[in-house]
Amino acid sequence: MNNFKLNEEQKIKLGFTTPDGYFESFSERLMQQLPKPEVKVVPLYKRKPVWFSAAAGFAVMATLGIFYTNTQQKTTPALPDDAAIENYLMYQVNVNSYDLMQNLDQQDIDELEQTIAISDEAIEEYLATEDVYSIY
Amino acid sequence: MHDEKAFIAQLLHPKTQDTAFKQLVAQYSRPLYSHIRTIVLDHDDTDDVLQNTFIKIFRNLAGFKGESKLFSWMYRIATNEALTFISQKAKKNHISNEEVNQRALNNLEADDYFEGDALQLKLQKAVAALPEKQQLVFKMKYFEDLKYEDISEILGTSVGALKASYHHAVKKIEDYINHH
Repeated sequence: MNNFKLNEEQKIKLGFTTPDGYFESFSERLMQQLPKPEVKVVPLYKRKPVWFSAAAGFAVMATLGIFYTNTQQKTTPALPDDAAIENYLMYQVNVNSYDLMQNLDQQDIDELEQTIAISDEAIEEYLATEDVYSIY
Repeated sequence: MHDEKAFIAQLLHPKTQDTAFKQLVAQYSRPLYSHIRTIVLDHDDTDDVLQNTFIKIFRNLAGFKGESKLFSWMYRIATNEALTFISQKAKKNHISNEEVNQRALNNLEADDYFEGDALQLKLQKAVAALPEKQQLVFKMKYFEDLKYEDISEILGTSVGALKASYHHAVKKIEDYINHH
């Protein structure tokens, strides 16, 4: 062939084929791989009758009263240890990292920086695996 | 544009997400498959890349800013996934990207899912001899019939540069076919 002109020839197709039913089954196979949406379970508040709340309140007061009469001597409450405080902050209190940041002073930040050691390799690996399509 | 915005909203809303995404897959699985296959050549590899592409699309929908068309954004992801697939294969086998493509080309004739004749095979070889970017431009214009404006959005290259690239690609291909 010496005078082949691409634009003068009839369009040359790719010649690729697919297995029978490939596209029909593709969607189902794909959907099985996608993460399922999280279903948040929101507990419903059930309003209890007033008499129930009053009875519960009285029971608490009575228990505390009995407890008080039995413990006449003053005892100093034991202070929680560091592990207990951390546990409380992580799971019991609605404190986010922004709130924590606001309460750090320069000394706290310096101490934290000394404990953090991330290698350049680790940073590169993180960037390589991170999806960057959100910038479009 | 308004229709596309409404569709994207459906894709992001938990109640309509499933139906909307299935619609997206139904509409784009064939064209994206074709696009990926022109790059990786093998059907099974294309299947892998196509799934990864849709998974990436699904995961990044919330971050889609709408600065380009949804279609262009998806094609861009598909292109990157296909090229990454080739790079990873090259690394795994301690060979170059070009060598990966050459091996895929050598396997094409015996491939169960290639029914091209001698000229179609020769054309594949001629295209494979082009620089990577020129190959992409040629494939998208000639095989996929995409408009220059769409190719421009997908590849981030000006229409003028694309036309020049395509023109050079055609000349080189004709030269290859006339001498092989």
